Amino acid sequence: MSAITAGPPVERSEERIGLLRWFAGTAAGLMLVGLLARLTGGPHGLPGEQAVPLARLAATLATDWPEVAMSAGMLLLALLPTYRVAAILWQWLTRRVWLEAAVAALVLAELLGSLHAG
Amino acid sequence: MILLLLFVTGLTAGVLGALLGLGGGIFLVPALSLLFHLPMRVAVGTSLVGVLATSAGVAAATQPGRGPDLKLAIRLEASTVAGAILGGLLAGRVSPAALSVLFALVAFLSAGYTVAKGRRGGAADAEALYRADYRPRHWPFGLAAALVAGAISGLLGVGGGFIKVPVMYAVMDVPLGVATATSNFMVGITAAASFFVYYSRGDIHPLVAVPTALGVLTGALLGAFVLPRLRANWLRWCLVAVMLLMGLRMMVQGFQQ
Repeated sequence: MSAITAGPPVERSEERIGLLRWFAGTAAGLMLVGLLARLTGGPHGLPGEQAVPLARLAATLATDWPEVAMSAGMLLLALLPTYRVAAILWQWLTRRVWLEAAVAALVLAELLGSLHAG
Repeated sequence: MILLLLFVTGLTAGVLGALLGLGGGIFLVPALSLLFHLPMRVAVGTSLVGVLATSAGVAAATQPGRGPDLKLAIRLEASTVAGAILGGLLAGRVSPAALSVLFALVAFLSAGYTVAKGRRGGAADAEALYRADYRPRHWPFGLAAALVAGAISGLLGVGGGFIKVPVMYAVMDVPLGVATATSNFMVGITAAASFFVYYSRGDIHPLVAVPTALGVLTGALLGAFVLPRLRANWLRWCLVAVMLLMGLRMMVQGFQQ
């Protein structure tokens, strides 16, 4: 049976993970702070600069931290679902649900692969 | 001033998305393209950030016992994420005109789905929506539909729930409430895959995406906590009309390019 209302353990722990509001809050905070700091720097035309590439995030921090904060906030938003898949994979591994764990590992691999697909 | 307008656009999309149970991308992409005259790929990339924000907002507001079927979601995601990466890569090669026309078709489909969902939603009780005695069927069809939904999400920056929910409900025999919660969970993962592709390609512009995403996040939270009490059938019809109008406008824009 595939059900959720009875609240199997993985689903219950996933609900706790889903309720990690600080994750979304931190992402929103980073984006807001970066945006406000960028606005104090004067007017900017749309669409503005591209997001800071992953490989240059640390290097750009010293020279243009508002841009890094905004980029990091967006990346954090995208990492939330990735983290949820990783957490589900961990739950299934510890419960030795091998087939589901293998599928979750495949999804996680696809997600990590998409980081280099562009 | 224009950033404030972007925030308001995101807020509106977030609220509308919450009202209709959609990701909000169906409103964001045409708004960014038609009102702000942004290139289609920037609009789609921004919309993906908005979909991620909606997903985060929904995750923060999910009621216990009303969550997704994780086994179903992860199995379908194996297919959907592959489609999303494919769609994201294809978007870099498809002409903006073709994207506009394709988006118009998807807007029409979404409008039809919204009408059908409104009719079904009133008839079913909560117990039937979340019943536990089901076993998903027709996996090959479900996986194929998930692949298409992922590709459309990557191409057009929409969640793809208008494909996934009907397929899970009508073909795979999953209760409607479970199908909707599962689709909401999947949307975030799918959008993350496409987002990474757009991000690495340089199609994400923080100055556009951030105010929009902050608006969407605020709107999605507002919608999740407050607006369920305000749902009304006439509002659904108004929003369907908006979707049809935006679809028509996108169609015209596509043929003019």
